[in-house]
Amino acid sequence: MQSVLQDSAKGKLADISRRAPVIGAALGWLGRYGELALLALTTIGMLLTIWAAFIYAPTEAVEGPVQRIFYVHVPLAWISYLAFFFVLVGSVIYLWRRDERWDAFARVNAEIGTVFTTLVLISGSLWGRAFWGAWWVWDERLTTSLLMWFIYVGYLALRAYTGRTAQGARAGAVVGILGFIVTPINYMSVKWWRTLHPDQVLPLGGTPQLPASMIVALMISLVAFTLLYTLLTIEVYKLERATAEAERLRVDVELSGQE
Amino acid sequence: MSTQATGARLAWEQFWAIIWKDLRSELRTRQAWMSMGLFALLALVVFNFAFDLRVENLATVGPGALWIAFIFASILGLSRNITVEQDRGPMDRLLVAPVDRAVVYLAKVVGNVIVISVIEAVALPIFAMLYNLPIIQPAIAPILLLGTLGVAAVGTQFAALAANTRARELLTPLLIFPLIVPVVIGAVRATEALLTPIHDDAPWLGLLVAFDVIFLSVSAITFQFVVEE
Amino acid sequence: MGTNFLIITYAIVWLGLMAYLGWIVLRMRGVRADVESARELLNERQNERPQS
Repeated sequence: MQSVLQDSAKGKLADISRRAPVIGAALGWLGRYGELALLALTTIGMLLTIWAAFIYAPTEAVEGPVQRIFYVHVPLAWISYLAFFFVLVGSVIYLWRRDERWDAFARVNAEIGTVFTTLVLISGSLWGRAFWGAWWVWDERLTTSLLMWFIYVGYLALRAYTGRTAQGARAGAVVGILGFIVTPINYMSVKWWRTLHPDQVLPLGGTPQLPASMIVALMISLVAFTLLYTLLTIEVYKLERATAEAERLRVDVELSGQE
Repeated sequence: MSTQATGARLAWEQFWAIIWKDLRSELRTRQAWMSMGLFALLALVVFNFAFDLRVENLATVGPGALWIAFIFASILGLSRNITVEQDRGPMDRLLVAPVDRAVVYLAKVVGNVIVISVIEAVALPIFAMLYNLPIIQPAIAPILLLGTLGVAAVGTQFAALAANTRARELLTPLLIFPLIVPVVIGAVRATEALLTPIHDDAPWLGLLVAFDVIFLSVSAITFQFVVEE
Repeated sequence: MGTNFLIITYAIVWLGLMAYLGWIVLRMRGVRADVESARELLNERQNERPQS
């Protein structure tokens, strides 16, 4: 089975192969084995993360072992911010170009971002119960995180109920654009208000608030989760495009049945 | 006049024409006003009973009760007519010319703000009596205006967006809720600060302004994609 | 004590991610089956018709 994407990629590949054989061969190899390689790298990364989080990283003085949740909680949160930013990008470009593939890009990122945010909320809640004694507090960071979660759940619900129509895509794009307002507010909430949730430990353009070994462990975890995110994005994107094609074929079948 | 000036002038006139037309149809039916007003009053009274309201508590729960009443009453009244072309009238020659969708959106928002403000104006003195709070002061006006503007901006956009979908009753509140919460929080906190001034509090009014400005401008641009055929 | 929460959290995160991956694979299989059957049906119908 060849998807539309693979067809156009093959066309381009044939082009490159003629002009630069070595690069063409490398790309071909990458296409065939790239996903497997990515899966392998992701698995290795995840195993390394567990090592880094449980063994390499030092135990935090005040919180004890529970603090190690940090090494999954933070990367999941950062990548979900990235994913929601891509929802914005995909939505804007879709409204501009009306290219289905950008809508798919937005949709994929909304799904993955929501899954990641769900895990952020769960891990954070467990961490909060252990450290603060509360499953939930209504401080600005947690409240806006929950709002963010609701927004993209609403996005997914909207897309599910409107099906694969252009109108649904447009509506989704609008939600994807307007909904993104909450994400930067959520990110800055620990700085703008006095929250129970800890402040940014690696502020953009600021000094890190962590010892070096913790930063290293965090970076290992971040790389691993980014690889996972990339793998998921590729797979769900292919799934999304395949579903769109299945829909198209179903329409064709119905039309041919009516003749 | 230059074509730009005439274009702007036309947009301005269309803007008011739509508001006027909406208000006229609203005044004629009067159903929306009644149900919204009644609901707001009901909410305020019920909150009065729901909380054990000794005098010290009133200032704490009052602002929250007030804004919950306003929010729900607003959402009730937001399923209003999205299309502009309905009845004949002297305004119609303005609307025969194509109307910029941003103008339509802003006009709808302002129309909603006016309707909700009338409800608020009636509910406010009743609230002041029931809860015994000195809420009738000039400083309440910007809070009411900015809060209502935020609610109307979010509500108008998403009501229009979900209007043509299958699960409209589910999707409309689901989409509206997360973006309305910042407005509610800002408005409630600002009202609280008005009644019991807190030293060194966050600039809630400024937050409302920022949210309203950003949301209205982005929304006005995206509205054309929502009502596109 | 906190260690329990630590283990549970990591377990939930990992299991959750694997479950999600599994769900993706399941969906992909379903869609592939749909596409296959739709293609077959279309081919049948096209072959039945002499012209087209």
